[in-house]
Amino acid sequence: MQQQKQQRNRLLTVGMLVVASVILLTVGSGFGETVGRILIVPFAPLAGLLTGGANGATGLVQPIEDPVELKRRNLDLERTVAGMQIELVQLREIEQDYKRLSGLANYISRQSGQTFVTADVIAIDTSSYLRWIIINRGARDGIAEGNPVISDLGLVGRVEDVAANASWVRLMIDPASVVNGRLQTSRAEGTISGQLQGGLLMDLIPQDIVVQPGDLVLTSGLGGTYPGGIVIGQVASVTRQPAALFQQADIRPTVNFADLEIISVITSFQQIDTSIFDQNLQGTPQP
Amino acid sequence: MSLQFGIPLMLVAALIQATILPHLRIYSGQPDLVVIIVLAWTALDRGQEGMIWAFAGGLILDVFSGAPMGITSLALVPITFLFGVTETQVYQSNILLPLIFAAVGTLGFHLIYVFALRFIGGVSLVWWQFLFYVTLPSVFFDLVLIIPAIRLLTPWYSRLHPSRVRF
Repeated sequence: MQQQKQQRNRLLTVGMLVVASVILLTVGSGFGETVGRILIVPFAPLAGLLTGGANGATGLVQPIEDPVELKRRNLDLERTVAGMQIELVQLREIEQDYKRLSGLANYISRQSGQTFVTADVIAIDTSSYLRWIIINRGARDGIAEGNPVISDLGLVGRVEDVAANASWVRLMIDPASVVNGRLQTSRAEGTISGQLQGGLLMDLIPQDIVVQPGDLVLTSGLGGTYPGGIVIGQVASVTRQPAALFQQADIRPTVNFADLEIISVITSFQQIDTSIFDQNLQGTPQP
Repeated sequence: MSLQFGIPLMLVAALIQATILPHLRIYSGQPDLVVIIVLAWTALDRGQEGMIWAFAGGLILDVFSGAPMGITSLALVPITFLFGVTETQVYQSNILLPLIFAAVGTLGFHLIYVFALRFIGGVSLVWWQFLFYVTLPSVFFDLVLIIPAIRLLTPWYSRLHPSRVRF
């Protein structure tokens, strides 16, 4: 009797929780996003601290690579060296930050008429199936949905959602990401989509275009979702089948997505609203 | 699991999963710390706590994700339900059984998650890539960590529920 009651309660609980999950998913993505935007506000500083700690710890173990070598040294010198090593690690961290920031500053200074907000990466998507990051700047800093995100090496992705003090960025390597790109040498255009392994695939390249490994790929600006001329990567290999309408190219991104720490958001970029064309395609009468 | 123990535990686990664990990836898979904790707690508990923490933990994970809010809970709650039911009957008979159920549980979680991501999240998938690069490495991680997680949580569980039968 008791067991039957427990079983009934268990079934009731699982049913209620599944229904609650489905309601969250289907009542409208807006509700779930709002919940996320509110919950991220207290978590963002914590995530920033943890990320900073993880990066610091990674740096701390780097110089102590050869303990045997250290043992050979004089005892007096060892103490001095240990102190200097800690200082060295800190200086290396500062140097890395300086390099990234100066790279960004160089890039930003070349882009006249655009405004940027620089941000730290504070979290990486908890789902292994998606390639998103969370940054420590949000609506308070002028970031809006659709803003392109870059690093000193090229295009990173796009802001998809914004909270007060944090933003969610879909990386270019996310399986659902699509960017319109252009080959620098031939000016041929195509669509570039993310691959789970971390690479990019450029599709819809016309068959008559000669594509060479090493060709540089830039954003084309078509579609109005990204500004034109931002570096995406280099052609790694080309797949060309005589029977196919288009050829494909594997693109090696210039940005190392596993090592993203500081990025810039182009806040002045106005995304073009193309929904009017979608309505026309669906047969909505034109005004 | 009491609120004052469960909420901080889930928060810390989700923060670690969003900040430190992505650096340990094999291919594209990483340990699902929250999932491991929820499954380990379900293995210890005879009641419905596992399901409730699956729901709460899933929501916390989704805050740090681009996936639609609720998708992780949707994948995790049914698995903890099945995990809990089976556990009641057979866990105490063999130490290897939790390992087998953990493998089946995490695999089931990933499959439901990917399915929901495809049909609710609208993410286009190449199934074999997802399976090879993410699901299998993640299941491997979870499998390795589930027994230590059960061992680590056992003292906490016995402190919170001294009257219940221990794993």
